[in-house]
Amino acid sequence: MADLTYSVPTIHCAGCAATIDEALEPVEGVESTSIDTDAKTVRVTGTAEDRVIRKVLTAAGYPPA
Amino acid sequence: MAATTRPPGAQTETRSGEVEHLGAREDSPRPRVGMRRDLVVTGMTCASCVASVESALTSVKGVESADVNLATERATVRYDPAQVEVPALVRAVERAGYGALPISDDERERAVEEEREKAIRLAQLEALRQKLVVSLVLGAATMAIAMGEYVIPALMDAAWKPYLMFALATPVQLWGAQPFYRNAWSAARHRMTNMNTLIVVGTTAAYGFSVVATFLPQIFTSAGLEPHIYYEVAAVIVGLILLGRYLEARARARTGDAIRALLALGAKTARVRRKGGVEEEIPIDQLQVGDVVIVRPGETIATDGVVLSGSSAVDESMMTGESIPVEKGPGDDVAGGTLNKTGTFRFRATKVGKDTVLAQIVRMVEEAQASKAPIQRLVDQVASVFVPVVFAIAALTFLAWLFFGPQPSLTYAMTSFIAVLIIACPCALGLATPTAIITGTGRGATRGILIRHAQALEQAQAVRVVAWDKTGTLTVGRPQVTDFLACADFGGDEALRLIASAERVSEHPLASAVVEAARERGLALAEPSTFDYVPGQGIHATVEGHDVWVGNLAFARDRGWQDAPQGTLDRYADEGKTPLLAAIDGKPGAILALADVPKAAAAEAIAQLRRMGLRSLLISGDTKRTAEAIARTLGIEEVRGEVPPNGKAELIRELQANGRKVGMVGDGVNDAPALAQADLGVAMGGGTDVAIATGGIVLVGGDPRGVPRALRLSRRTLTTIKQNLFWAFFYNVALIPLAAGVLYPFTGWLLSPILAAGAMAISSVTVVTNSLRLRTAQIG
Repeated sequence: MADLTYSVPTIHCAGCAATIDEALEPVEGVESTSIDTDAKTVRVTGTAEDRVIRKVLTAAGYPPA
Repeated sequence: MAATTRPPGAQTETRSGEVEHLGAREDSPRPRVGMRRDLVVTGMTCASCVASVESALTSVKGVESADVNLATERATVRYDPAQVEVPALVRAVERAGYGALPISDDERERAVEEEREKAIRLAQLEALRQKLVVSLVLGAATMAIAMGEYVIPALMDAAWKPYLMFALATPVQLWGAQPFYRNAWSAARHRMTNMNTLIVVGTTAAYGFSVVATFLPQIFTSAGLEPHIYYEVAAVIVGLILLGRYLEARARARTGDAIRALLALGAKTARVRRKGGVEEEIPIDQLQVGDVVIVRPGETIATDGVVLSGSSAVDESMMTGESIPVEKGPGDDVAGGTLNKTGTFRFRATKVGKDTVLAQIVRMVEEAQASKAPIQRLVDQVASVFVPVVFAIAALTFLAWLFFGPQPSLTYAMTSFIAVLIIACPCALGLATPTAIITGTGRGATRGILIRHAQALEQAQAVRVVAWDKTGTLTVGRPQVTDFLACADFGGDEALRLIASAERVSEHPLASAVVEAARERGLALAEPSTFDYVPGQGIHATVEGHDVWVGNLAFARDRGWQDAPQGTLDRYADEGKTPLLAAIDGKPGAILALADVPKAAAAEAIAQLRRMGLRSLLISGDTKRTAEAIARTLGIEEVRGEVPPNGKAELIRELQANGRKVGMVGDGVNDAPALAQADLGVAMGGGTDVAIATGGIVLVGGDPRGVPRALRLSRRTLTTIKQNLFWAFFYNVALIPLAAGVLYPFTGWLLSPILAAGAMAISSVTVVTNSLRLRTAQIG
């Protein structure tokens, strides 16, 4: 099981974190997500593909840097 | 007719803003400024009507341009909202004797209005059918009585005969011909004439003359003239013209079928998964961006989105023309309106309503269908002087027969006069171009070929040279591993697995190609424990305790790999491939070659163009060697490599220098200036955002064979237009002298007004039927 970490500069607050959480939750292979609003990073645990997570984050309005 | 008008509100602003955004692009046929509004115009029957409505609209102060299309019954008006408002436009059209109904910009209201419009059209068609049936029956009866005297001589002098014919012909003239009278009258009030004027004057002359001859024959006898009656002429002409109109209206309704079929693709409901896993079926217009939609096998995909989980084969043929279903898995884009075949999957809605690809396609096709081909402007000009000229000819014919013709001179004068008026009706002329364009663009839309405006069709068939952008147009657009040479003791798969694991963290496009290659071989990748990146050279990573270096030749030499096989590397370079060298634990590990490979159908597309007599040329920003290698594989003779991004348009200009018509095929966004410079710009969209693409033609789906297809379609459409114009125009011009009796002194030929009416009806139906053949045109 691998972790993928993304820097997402547009994260501001807990609201953003909730939106991202909700957006990633239905993605195939995503086991859990942890979002650090201070470091503005999203950490995804599971077998999901990097390409898919990037795409979903971008579609949700939080493009990874 | 009752016209509902709405003040131009906020929605209008949005819509017009969009249009301006598109209009600002360089390939637009003309500069578009101000507001734009579409009107439904009812009551138009011919090219002269189009000219009347156009001149009525453009004469309103503040109107910049007005495009009227007979086949769609639409007027597209661009105007300055500061000077004029929509109600004034409607009044202008109504004053010219036609009905106008502004089309709302709001999608939902538009749907309601289109329903209403359809109901009105159906009612009109039914009314027309009733008039047609009654007129044909009565006309035939009148004709039978008129002809009967040749069979039963007793009828010749039957005193009741004129009265019976009067009784039969009168309903036809007063009720059946009502639409012609109404239309001609409203035109006349504005001192305008159109084809209805010709019909009305022709049949009224025949009928009126007969009425006088029936009830006041002494007027003629006292002048030494024979009181002949022409009831059958008037009645049969009205019947035949109604028949022509009816058949034409029915066929015309079919020309827009393709676009209606596209609209009908949209799903009505969507199954949405709410927070906590609750599924809910909601109407499509309540769907929002960000919703998670569940799609089961056999269902239509509700809107555009990106797949989150599950996988399936999706039939996208309705948009791309490609009949083989496309495999979709997490991360892939799906388009609303396409059909899910095999599996169940969930996707996140990224676009809804009017932003979806399907909505954009429909809007683009509608705009193209409403646009006017340059050739049509010429036709309109001719049509606007046509009717007055015909009247002059008819009047001259009448006088010539009356004074110089044989006895009974009044009869000859009368029939020639009517025949000239009837034969000259330019209604086939008004249908020749628009019906072909609507059918042709509709046919294109079903094959993933979106024609942006009618002008593009004319430009397309003049193209002699096709310049292709390389990357993403003829090639897949991203590098793939084409060769893999393992030199280490690990064995091919293990070496590739270690290299790909090392590259996994890198975001370089070459790195993703290596990862992709490993995935294709089913290798399970490991997580590197360390990773370094030397910009422009390569990477270093530790994977499962192995020391892995991957990079270019200089990078490998620096790391002690001196004896890299130069011959192999040179060969790769000649083939336009990029070599990557990998060292594992300080020893040569593998040599990989990567290249952007041509699309499967690219070579065939080039070959098809060659068979059509077109030359292809490859333009690329890559090195000459890379560009030449691709060109060789595809059979393209002419290559321009190392062209800077801004140099493509310049190159197109050079190619055009000796008057050659050049088509440019590119990705529509980056190649926009070159596409605009070319005589025909073909944008090859991936299908995600067709509307922003520049170019007269947009290919959905990215199959290069779409280019020869599009060119074939435009050739076919142009040929159809020319055939139609020939049938419509030549026919009018050639038969007018015959109808006037020019040949009579030599051969005794004179065209009977009844034959003239029949021929006219046939010409309209011929033109529309000819256009409808485009629906099944083989375009490859």
